[in-house]
Amino acid sequence: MKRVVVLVVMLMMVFTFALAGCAQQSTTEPSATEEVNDAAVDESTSEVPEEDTYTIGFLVPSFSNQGFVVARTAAEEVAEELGVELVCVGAQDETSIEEQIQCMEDLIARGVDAVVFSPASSTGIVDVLVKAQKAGILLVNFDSRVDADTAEAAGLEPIPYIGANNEEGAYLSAEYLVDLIGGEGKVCIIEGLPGHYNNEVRKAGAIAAFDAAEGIELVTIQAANWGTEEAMNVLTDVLTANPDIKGVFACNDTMAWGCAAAITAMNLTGTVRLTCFDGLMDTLSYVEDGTIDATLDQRLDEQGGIGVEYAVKLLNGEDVPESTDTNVRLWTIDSIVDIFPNS
Amino acid sequence: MKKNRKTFGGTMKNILDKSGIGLALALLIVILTIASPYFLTVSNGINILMQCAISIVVAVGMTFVILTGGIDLSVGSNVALCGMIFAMFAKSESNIFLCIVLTVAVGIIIGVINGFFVARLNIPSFIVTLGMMNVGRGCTLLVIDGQSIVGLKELYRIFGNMYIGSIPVITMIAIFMLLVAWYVLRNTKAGRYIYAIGGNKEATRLSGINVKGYEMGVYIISGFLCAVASMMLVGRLNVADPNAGSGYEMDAIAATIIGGTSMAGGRGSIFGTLMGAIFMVVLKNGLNLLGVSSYIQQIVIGLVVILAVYIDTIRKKIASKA
Repeated sequence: MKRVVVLVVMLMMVFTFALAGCAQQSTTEPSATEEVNDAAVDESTSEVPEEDTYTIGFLVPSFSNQGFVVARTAAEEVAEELGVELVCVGAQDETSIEEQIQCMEDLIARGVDAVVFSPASSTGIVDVLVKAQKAGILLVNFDSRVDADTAEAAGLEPIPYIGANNEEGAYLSAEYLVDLIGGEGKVCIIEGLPGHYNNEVRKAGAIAAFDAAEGIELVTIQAANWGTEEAMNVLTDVLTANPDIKGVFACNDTMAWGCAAAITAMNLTGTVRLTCFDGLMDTLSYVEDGTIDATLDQRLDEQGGIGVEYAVKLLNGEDVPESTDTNVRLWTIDSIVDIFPNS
Repeated sequence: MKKNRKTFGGTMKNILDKSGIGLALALLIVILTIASPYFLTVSNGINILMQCAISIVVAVGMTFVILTGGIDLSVGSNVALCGMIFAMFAKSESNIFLCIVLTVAVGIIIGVINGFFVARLNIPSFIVTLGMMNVGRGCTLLVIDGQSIVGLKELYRIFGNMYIGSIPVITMIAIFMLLVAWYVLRNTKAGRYIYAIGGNKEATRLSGINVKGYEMGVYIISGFLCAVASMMLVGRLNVADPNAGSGYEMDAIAATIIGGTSMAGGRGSIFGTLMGAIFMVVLKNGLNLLGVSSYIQQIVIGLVVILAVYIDTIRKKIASKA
C-alpha cells in the first residue's frame, strides 16, 4: 500500500514538473485546420472551420514580465476584432530559451497557422523557427530581433519585425538622465542579461548618450539579469564602491524597481537619479513619487497589436513591411500628466 | 552505546571547526579590506548586516533540517510564495498582523507538507523538497498570473528601512531567531533529539523517541523561517517578485556546511551557520565591490561550496578514525 502511495506521489511530482515548465493560457479552443501530430483528435464531426478562423500563436519569453502582458492584452483585442483565435504561450523563466523552444514546439504540434513571437534568445530561437517555417507556419517577430547572421546561416526566410528602436529609446532615456544631473558627473549602467539583443542595444544607446556628454563619466556596467532583487543587491554594492555616482541607467523597469529600493535604502533619493527602459504600468507610481525619474515606453501594446495584424495580413497573402518602428515616448514626471490624464 | 557527541572531545572538535570558519572569515575580511577601500566602512557594514539578515534566517532553518540528515531544497520557492501572499494581502488588508499571520501560516503549511512526506511516508527529503520547490514555484506564478506586486510603501518602512540605532530591524529579527534556535539546540531535549536523529535515526527510534514528530518539526521550522525571510525580502525590495528566492537553497546549504554542519546530520551548530552565512554574504559583497562580473561570482561561490563539502568529508574521515 505504501509503495502505491509513494508511486502516486512520484507521478504527481513528475506531472507537476512538466506542467510548471510551460505555462499556457489559451483564450479559446483552437480549431486548427492542420493537425500535424494530433491523431487522437477527430474534428470531422464538428462544423467545417471557416476560411477566416486562423489560429495564431502568441509566444513570449515569460508573462511574469508585465511588458509581455501588455503586449498580450493588445494582441487579444486585435485578434477579437479580426476574428482570429489567439493561443498565448510563455515559459516560466524569461531568460530560458530551452523552455521557450519547448513552447514553440508545442505550438507547431498544435498546428497553428502563424506565430507572433519575442525570443528569449536572439540566436537560440533560430533552429525552432526554421522548424516552424518548414511546417508551413508564418512568423512575425516583435520586441527583440532575431539575430540576422544566425538566421541567414540557418537558411531562415525573412521574418517581418515590429519593435521599438531600443537603441534610440535607451539613448533618449539616458540623455534625460544626463540633463537631470546637469550634464556632469559619474554614472553607471545596470544591464540585464548580457548577450541578449535588446540588452546589448539598450546598453549601446545609453553608452552613446553618455559619450555625447562631455562632463559625464561612465564608471561601471554591472549585470543584474533582469532581476529585481539582484539589481538591488548589485546597485547597493556599486554605490558603496562608488559613492560619487550621480546617475543610474537600468536596462529595464523590473531592475529599476530594485535599483530604486537600493537608492531609497541608502537615503540617496534625489541625490542619485535613475532612469530606465520599458514603460511598465507599475513604474508609473515610482515616476509619480520621484524614486524613478523616467522610463522609456516602448509601446509593447502597439507591438502586440500590430504583430497580430501583420500575421493575419500574411495569412491572407498580403505583404507587410519588413521592419516597423513603434512610437516610443518617455514617461517623466512632466509627461505622464499628458499621457495619463486620469491618474 | 553510541558516544554522545556532546562530550569534551566532541565540543573541542566543534570549537576547532568553528574557529576554522572564523579564521577563514577573518582572512577574507583582511583580504577585502586591502583590496577595496570601501569594504571596511560604516555604510558597507550596515549593507552587509542588511543582506545577512535574510540569509541567516533561511540558513538557520536549513541547519535544523540538515542536522536530522535531511535537506530542504524548497526554501527558495517558499520564500517567493510567502512573499507573494504577504504582498497580496498587504495591498488589500490594512491589518498588518493579519497579513503576517497568514504568511506565516503558508510557510508552516509548506513545512507540514514537506515533513509529512519525509517523516511519515519516508520518501527521501531530497526528492520531496525538490518536488515542493517546483510546486511552490508553480503556485507563486499562479497566485496572480506571474506578475510582480509593486508599491507596498507602508510595509517597506516597517521592515525594510527601520533601524534601531544604526542596526537594521531585520538584522535584529534575524539575530533573535538565531538565538532562539541556538538555545533550543543547545539546551533543550528537543535539540538533543534532533542531533540524535541525525546521528543515528534507528537507534534514536528504538530508544522510544518520537522520531517522526521531530523530523516533521524541523521542516515546519524551516517553512516558518522562510515565511519570516519572505517578509523581510518584500519589505526591503518593496516588490514581491515571483522569481524571488532563486538560489536561496544553494546559499543556505553552503552557509550551513561551511559553518561546520555535516551533510549526514548529527553534528553542527547554529553559531557555525552564522559564521557560514556571514562568510557567504561578505564574499558576495566583496566580489561586488571589486566589480567582479556576476558570472565569475557564480563560479567562485560554487567552488567555495564544493570546497566546504570536501573539507566536511575529510573532517568526517578524521572523526571516524578518532
